[in-house]
Amino acid sequence: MRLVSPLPIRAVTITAALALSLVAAATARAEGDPATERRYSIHGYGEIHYNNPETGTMDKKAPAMVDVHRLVLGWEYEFTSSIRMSAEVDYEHSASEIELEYAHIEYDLAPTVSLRAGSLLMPVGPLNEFHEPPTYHSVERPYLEASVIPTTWQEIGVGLVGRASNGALGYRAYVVSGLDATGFSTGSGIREGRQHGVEAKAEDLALVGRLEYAAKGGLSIGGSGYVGGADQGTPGLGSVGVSIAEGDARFRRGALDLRGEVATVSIGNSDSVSAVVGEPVASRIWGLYGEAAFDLLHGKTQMPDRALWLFARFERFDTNADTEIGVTKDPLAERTIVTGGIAYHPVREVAFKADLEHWKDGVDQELNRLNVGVAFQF
Amino acid sequence: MTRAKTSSIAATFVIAAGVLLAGTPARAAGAASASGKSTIAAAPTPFAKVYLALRGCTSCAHCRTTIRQMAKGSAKGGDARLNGDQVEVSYAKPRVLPLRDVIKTLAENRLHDLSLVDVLFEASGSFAKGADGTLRFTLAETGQEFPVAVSAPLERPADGRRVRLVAVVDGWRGKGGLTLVAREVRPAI
Repeated sequence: MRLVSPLPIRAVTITAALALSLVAAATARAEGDPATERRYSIHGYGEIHYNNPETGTMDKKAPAMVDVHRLVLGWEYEFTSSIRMSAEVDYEHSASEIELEYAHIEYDLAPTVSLRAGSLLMPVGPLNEFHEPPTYHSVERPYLEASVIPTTWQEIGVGLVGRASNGALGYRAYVVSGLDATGFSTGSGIREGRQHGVEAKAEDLALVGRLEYAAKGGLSIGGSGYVGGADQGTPGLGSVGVSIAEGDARFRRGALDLRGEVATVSIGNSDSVSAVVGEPVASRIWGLYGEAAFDLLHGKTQMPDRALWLFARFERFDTNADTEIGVTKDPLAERTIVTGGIAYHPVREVAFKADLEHWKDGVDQELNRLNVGVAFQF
Repeated sequence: MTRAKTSSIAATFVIAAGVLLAGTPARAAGAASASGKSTIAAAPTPFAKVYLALRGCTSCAHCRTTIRQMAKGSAKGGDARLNGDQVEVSYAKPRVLPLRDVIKTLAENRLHDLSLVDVLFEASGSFAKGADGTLRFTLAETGQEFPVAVSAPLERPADGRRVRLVAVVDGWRGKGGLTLVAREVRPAI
């Protein structure tokens, strides 16, 4: 739920309500109810960045920027061992924006199958659900994960989450509120079509699912799919369907960590969407990235979690790859980024990072960016 | 400072206060109990418990659900709770415990950032020497046995006397049998 000025009151109300429920329950616990003992867990994560020049521009003369990019506080409460509530609130950009990351009820239907309902993180790609900053090596998340898959993406819905094959196979399948095509754009693709559960239009729904398998030896593979309507009954749009197909793999063994991902998005009736939003919206968006990282401290320290990752990543995506006849494609939407850097973890949950990005767009504009950051989770 | 920012920061403090208060009840409840004012009856002691200490990501909902489902899937009737970075598998009633399966599922998990570091076991039963001369702990009512080691300063209870044993589980990293290493022996309730 993204709430920026001029809606601070709502943001505060939501935050305060969540906090007060926590305080009330904690008070009940303090009054001597042993049954509530250990039902809470508190967690959080955050990252602070220096970007030179600032992000979101190809202007070499743009100013440098420092930003408390995100500070997330989350908690879980177990009603019983089979029913729990879990939520996170994300204070972005030094708390100038508040976003409800997710808030759902989980009910175990069987030992390895649970029903989830509420504001759900969409199971698309490896990062959208699993995005604590120390888990990726770069200061900024892979850009494919923002521009093609609109991470962090949450919608209201219901579905199943489960595991099989002794935990090696995981799956999620949800019915959720669809995207809103009036937010689609040339440069950001479907990103601003996310509804975040903020009084979301629910004329169109969507199905989303993910399968992931962890093989022996450190290889894991995953695939995600999404299909749904996005016109939400908006006059002039006609019927707009969106589908996403995504595949990813990761190999981690010893000092080596390899990751890769490919994703494509199809938008139906995108000429109508382009006419309504006033800019060329793609009929197809795609992107890919590959990353290799090596832990220079592996096997050289007594501290099992201490690591110094050296990494390099190549990514290319185009948020305006194909357009309908009569809609002019924008070459600026094609971007190639090469990133190289380091990430030092004194402990697993804390990372000091620095990297350099080289950007090139479809009209051969180039930009170099220096990023430095600190990241943590608990 | 904008009104939005002021309000957001105020909200942050409210959340932080909630987080801090959430940490106080255990102490408060403990104090109430110590002063004898608690009126809550103790829950019945479960037949057995297995505590599995984890290292890695145990904080996000995605990982916590995965850990729970792995534990519950292998516990075969046991109730699994995740408390911080520790899974607690509890068996309310007597049954043969799939101890090796529960441990193996978490020890050999293929998640990229989760490892099992220690296992603790708690159950009621009795000590006695087995036919091969090794000391064994036999669980009450089911007769399931585990090799057990008791070393000073703990005293080995008399053979056949019913006790509550808390022990570290050893041997799960290898392919051999599991052994219990006693950490606490007290009279069974």
